[in-house]
Amino acid sequence: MTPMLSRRRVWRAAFAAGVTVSLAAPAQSQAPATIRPLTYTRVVLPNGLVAILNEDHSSPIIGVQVSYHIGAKDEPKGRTGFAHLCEHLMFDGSPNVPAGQFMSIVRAGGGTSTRWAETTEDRTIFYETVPSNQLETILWLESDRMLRPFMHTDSTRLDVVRGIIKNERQANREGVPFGLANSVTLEALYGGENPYRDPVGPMDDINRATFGEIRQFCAPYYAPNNAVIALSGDFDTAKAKALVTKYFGEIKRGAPVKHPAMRPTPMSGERRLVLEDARARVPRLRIAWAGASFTNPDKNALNALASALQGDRSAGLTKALVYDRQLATGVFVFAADLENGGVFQIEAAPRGTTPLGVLEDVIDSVVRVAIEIPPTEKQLRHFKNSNAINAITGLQSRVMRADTLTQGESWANDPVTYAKQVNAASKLTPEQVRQAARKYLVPGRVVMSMVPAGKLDLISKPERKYERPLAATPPGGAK
Amino acid sequence: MIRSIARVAMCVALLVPALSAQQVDRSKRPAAPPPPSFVFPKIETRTLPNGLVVHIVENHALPLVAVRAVIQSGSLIDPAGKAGLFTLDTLLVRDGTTKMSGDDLSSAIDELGAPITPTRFTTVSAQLEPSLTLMADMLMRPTFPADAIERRKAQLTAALQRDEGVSSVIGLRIFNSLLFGGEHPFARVPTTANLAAITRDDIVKFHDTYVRPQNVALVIVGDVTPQAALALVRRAFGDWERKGEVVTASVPTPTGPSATTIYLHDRPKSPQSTVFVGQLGPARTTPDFYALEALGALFGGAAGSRIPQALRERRALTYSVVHTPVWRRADDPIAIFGSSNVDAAKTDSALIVWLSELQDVTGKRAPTEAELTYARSLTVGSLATRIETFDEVANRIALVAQSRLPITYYDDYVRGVNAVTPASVGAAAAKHIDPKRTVIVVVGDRASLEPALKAANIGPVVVVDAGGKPVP
Repeated sequence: MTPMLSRRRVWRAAFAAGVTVSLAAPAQSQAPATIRPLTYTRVVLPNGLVAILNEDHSSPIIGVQVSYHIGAKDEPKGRTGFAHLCEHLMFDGSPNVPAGQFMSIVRAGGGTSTRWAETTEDRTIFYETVPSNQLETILWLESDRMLRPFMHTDSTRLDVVRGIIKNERQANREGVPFGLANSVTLEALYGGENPYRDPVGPMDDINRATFGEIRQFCAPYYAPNNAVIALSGDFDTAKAKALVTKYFGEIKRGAPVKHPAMRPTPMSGERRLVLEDARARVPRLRIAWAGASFTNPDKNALNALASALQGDRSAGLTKALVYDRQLATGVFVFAADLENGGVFQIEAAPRGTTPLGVLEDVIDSVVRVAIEIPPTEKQLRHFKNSNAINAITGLQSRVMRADTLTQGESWANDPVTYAKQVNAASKLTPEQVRQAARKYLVPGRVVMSMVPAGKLDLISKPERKYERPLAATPPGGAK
Repeated sequence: MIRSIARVAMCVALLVPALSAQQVDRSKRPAAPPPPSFVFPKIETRTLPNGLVVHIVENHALPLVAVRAVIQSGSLIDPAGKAGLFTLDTLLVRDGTTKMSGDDLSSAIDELGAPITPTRFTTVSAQLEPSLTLMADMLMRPTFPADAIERRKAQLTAALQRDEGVSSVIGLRIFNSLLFGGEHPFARVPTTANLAAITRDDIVKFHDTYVRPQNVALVIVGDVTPQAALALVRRAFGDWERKGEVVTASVPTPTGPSATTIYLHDRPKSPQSTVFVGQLGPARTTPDFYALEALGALFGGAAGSRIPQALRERRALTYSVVHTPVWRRADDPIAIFGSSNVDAAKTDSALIVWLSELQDVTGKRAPTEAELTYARSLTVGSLATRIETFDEVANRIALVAQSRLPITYYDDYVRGVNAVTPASVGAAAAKHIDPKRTVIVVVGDRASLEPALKAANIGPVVVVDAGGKPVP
């Protein structure tokens, strides 16, 4: 029940999303690294629910995911945190399943899940892996809570859930060094009305709201026409189709759901921020730009650019910062894609007493080169190889396959978008990567100095204009 | 080799006819067919003449192979005063070998497209051979360049400094030092000072003595036949000379605490307290092993177990909590413990509830048949869903090898857990859980917690530093 831009999500967004069955580039080969998409059957029920069925009998288990198209970006001012709160409430019982029994029933049948559910900026997903004899049971469970969501919740229970979420935010954000950095970055890049923001944000709105308001906001999104279900694993497709139809077919279609039009706030110039953190001992520097969305054709080029910029001992920022000049203990570059936007980010940790300003200068000079000079064929080939291999190793688990299929269906009306993107990436040219650097690594960006509380003398280039108030995790935590 | 996506993907868009108005009877959980039986994949084990053990699982469902190298016994063989040496060694072997410079090695790994470390990789089966060759080169022929040593020490030092900000890391260190004793190998952690004291000679000698084939097991899972895998292993590792020592790394038996005590480490104004609660347990060779597995599952294994129900679902004191035995190698003493981040203002309530649950499971509310059924589904019933991928199979076998358990461990496990009874689990709880000899570590705001914890009357409250030593 975690949020996004967590490491796992970044990894998923930036690299994974890939899948199955075949191929990959042999070492030293110049051949394009391509993959074969997962095979699937797509079913659309009259009530609008889309089901994606990926049959695979190699193990007697099934991965299940139900994805609802509701995320933090759907929350207007005054309703922040509602999507994530409703994710929790979906475990509070349904017409025929008592409150708190969902997980116990899955587990009693031998099922598991790493997190059970996650709320991101764009969608809310629920997922489990079950032994194949539990197929009908899991469809019964998932359809029962889609049938009448939130029916058992009352104000007493709502208080308990608020308490759990408060503890979740403190454990995953306020209680870890720089745990709020992603939250601050995202809001700085995408602020505005209905901004992209942390799904597990401050508690104010959900503490203020009544249960009626919360249900009224969430219920329209928890409808079959706003959901995709994917099954991956050991079932017969015809039988699974019949069972999905049996359990989900009678659920009433809801009103059409509209998502806010998302525009990145045009950033004409640089925004310089400071994140102080009482738990941190060592500073870091982060530079972030608005990136490409899930369906944006530039996504592949930005991923290749991130790979080339990160580099290894012999190239890119790793060579410049960690090996040649030994100014940093590590540098991490990634491109993450959301449904309607993206983040391209460089983060470095100084070695010893290296000032953050020195890291910024070196990063800037390497970025300037990337805008002028394309990556080498070798750098690009490394990216293509790892991109294709990750698409296979990353889709070993059936739940990851289900997740990838629902994401493609939900955001691009094509469950195997991931495979088409990997195969398109195999044709990238160095010049396309340079063009992406020129287009995205623009002056409008966020430069964030992350420092231990009170160590404002450590910020990068203090003579430049910083925004106030400074972002901070006060020692007391929750705002 | 670009295949036509249209031809390969069997995409079928279907409109299903509307169901008749007849309603589905949802009032009862659907009857499930009998569960598929779980059988751990068949493992072929061979030993090379130089002592290297190879465990192979053949599975052609995906064109992948997952490889692990298990080095006995990890950081437990760090010499006293040189904690971090093993970790430093496994990092430094990536920085150059007699065949390749650090740059060339890094570039060769990138070319293969999957991260290859000295101890693990997962890649497409077509690249097993070059990947295994690089792994062998790192393990067998490292050169330990002097500049790399300084760089890796700086990286480790930075990681240590980051850890100092993480309450759960600090709390676990304090807990281990109080339960096992500050000098015990389980409590040993690297410090900036002892990293600085490690010399290149230390590293070279350490690697030459311990990182040798007689102390290493390879695990290979996936799209390769055992014969082909063995041939590749012989080619890559056959020349590795058996030399140095056979690692035993047996550890002292700790005495454990004599009375329940709360150890408080100050982290001013923390909104949550990070809490560890537990005690010493027996080695996994105990006849009570399976009963303790079931006990851990029903007491603190997952949502629906006693501690998560009590602390999260009924009282919203935490987001998550677990409390189970944490097993180590076959003969090692262990801790049976739980941890959680709890609402700071209610730390005392959380501990009172937690200890009363510990007390109850030893007698007043002994485990029931229903709880045991649930525990079996958590431990045994879910094996198929928890050991799904090639990576997970490889990790499990690596853990069995590292723990020096019989390779039939999982087959025995299913039988063992299925054989326990509520009476045997209750007896194990009464024997191994003693709420009066519990170590409690709280990392949080001393100013507000100290008076509240004293008033809770659980046990003495001792304020400690990050090493677990009392401070005024």
